[in-house]
Amino acid sequence: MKSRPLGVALPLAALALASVESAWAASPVGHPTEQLIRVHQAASSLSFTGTYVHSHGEGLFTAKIYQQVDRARPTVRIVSVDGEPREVIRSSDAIKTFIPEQKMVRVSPMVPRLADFPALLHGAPEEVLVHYRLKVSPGKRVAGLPTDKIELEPVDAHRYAWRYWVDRKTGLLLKSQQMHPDGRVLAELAFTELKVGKKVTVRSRYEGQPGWTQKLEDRAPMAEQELRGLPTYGGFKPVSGLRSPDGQRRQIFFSDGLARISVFMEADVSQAPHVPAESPGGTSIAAVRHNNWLITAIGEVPLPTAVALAQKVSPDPLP
Amino acid sequence: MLPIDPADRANISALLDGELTSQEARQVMEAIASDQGRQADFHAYSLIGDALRGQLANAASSSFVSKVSARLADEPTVLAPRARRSKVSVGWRGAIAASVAAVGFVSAVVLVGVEPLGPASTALSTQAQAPNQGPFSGQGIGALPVVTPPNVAVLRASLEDPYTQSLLESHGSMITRLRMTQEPRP
Repeated sequence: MKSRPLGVALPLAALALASVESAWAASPVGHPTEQLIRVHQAASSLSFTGTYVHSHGEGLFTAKIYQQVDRARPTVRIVSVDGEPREVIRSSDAIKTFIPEQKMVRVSPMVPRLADFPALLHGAPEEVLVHYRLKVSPGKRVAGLPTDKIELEPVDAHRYAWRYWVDRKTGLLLKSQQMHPDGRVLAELAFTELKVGKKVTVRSRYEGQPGWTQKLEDRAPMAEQELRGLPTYGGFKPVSGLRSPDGQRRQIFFSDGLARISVFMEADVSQAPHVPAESPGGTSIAAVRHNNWLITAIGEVPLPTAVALAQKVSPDPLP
Repeated sequence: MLPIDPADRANISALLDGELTSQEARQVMEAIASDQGRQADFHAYSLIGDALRGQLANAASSSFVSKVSARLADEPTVLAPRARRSKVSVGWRGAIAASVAAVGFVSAVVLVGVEPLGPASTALSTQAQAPNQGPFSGQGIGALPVVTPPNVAVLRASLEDPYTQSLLESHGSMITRLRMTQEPRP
């Protein structure tokens, strides 16, 4: 099993350039890596408020999103519009999920280097362009705003294609689609309304209310050296992870720079009543047992990729 | 092992890639269910072939795959129903169920357990394991034929399982967290 350095941009500029289609030349923006960086930075540098819809197949889920950036540190609040009232607050160090009917807030550690809509990069843009061919063209309006459309076509079968519609003025990602090879949209996230630059409150309405209990997750971010012994597969490399204090529960995030796979490693799960085996929309789930460990891979990737990664990750070299 | 029919291979590949309509998937599954040879082919070419062959880098892994493949024809058939919800509820569950329906039959035999891929694992056991009993027994579009290879346990699917839900929530984006907490968990 090879050890690979983490968090280092690969010297792949030549390959990246080779994978850019000529359509880029017509784009009003610069090099494709700059475009990806622009989108990513806009997501972390702009304050905004909006409504966005998450669709998986025929299912829709709507939420309000508020982002406030102070000193280059965004805090995000999202509030469910559909279903039960829920709130999630994401700051630089934690994610809080408020569940009103239980009067409980679950607190999870913020995982470094992981992007969430409207951010998109889990790694260096040069790395993305090794695994995807990038094409830019004028896009349709989204949430009333003119866009550039960025298409990222995979160079192999290990990953899905992605489409992004980016606000031409600010670079903010307005809509993303995960595409099946036959052209079907597997999942979509899209703003239906958006106001950029508006000062917003990101404090939960439930914060400080009496009678609430706090459930703290015991997992903490893993050190980079803990990830170095892990394998890679199909260009998916470990980028960050969480582990319980005793090391018996771990979640490793793998990414090709764009798509994300979580690999859960849990010891002594012989009593687990069921384990997942499904591919709901664009999310694939696969698991294997290694001795007394259950390895489960979940990701927005084709099923064979999840299966192969679950097969390849072994708890054996872990401390 | 008998040579696999090219048309069957194409159908199996399309099935596992989620490229068939529900009706087409059903027809392919019925064809597989009706013939033991296809069952062996299904397993060899979809589970091992698509998921593993060429994706395990070391020699031990290749040896493992070869040995598993060579043993497939001699193994008993185990029937395991596909995980499928009979009733769609609200929130993320509804979305997931809808997406499964929209995508069609994606793949039921995703989840396999194997021994470690080291030297010790090359000594394959000969006893196939029966699948665990789960909430989906008897449900779904019919029995999915699964030829269980040596030392591989077919584990059952359940998106209703709290463990599965917790993993999906932990993996997902912020909006996924909202969806995942839409229904109280046990």
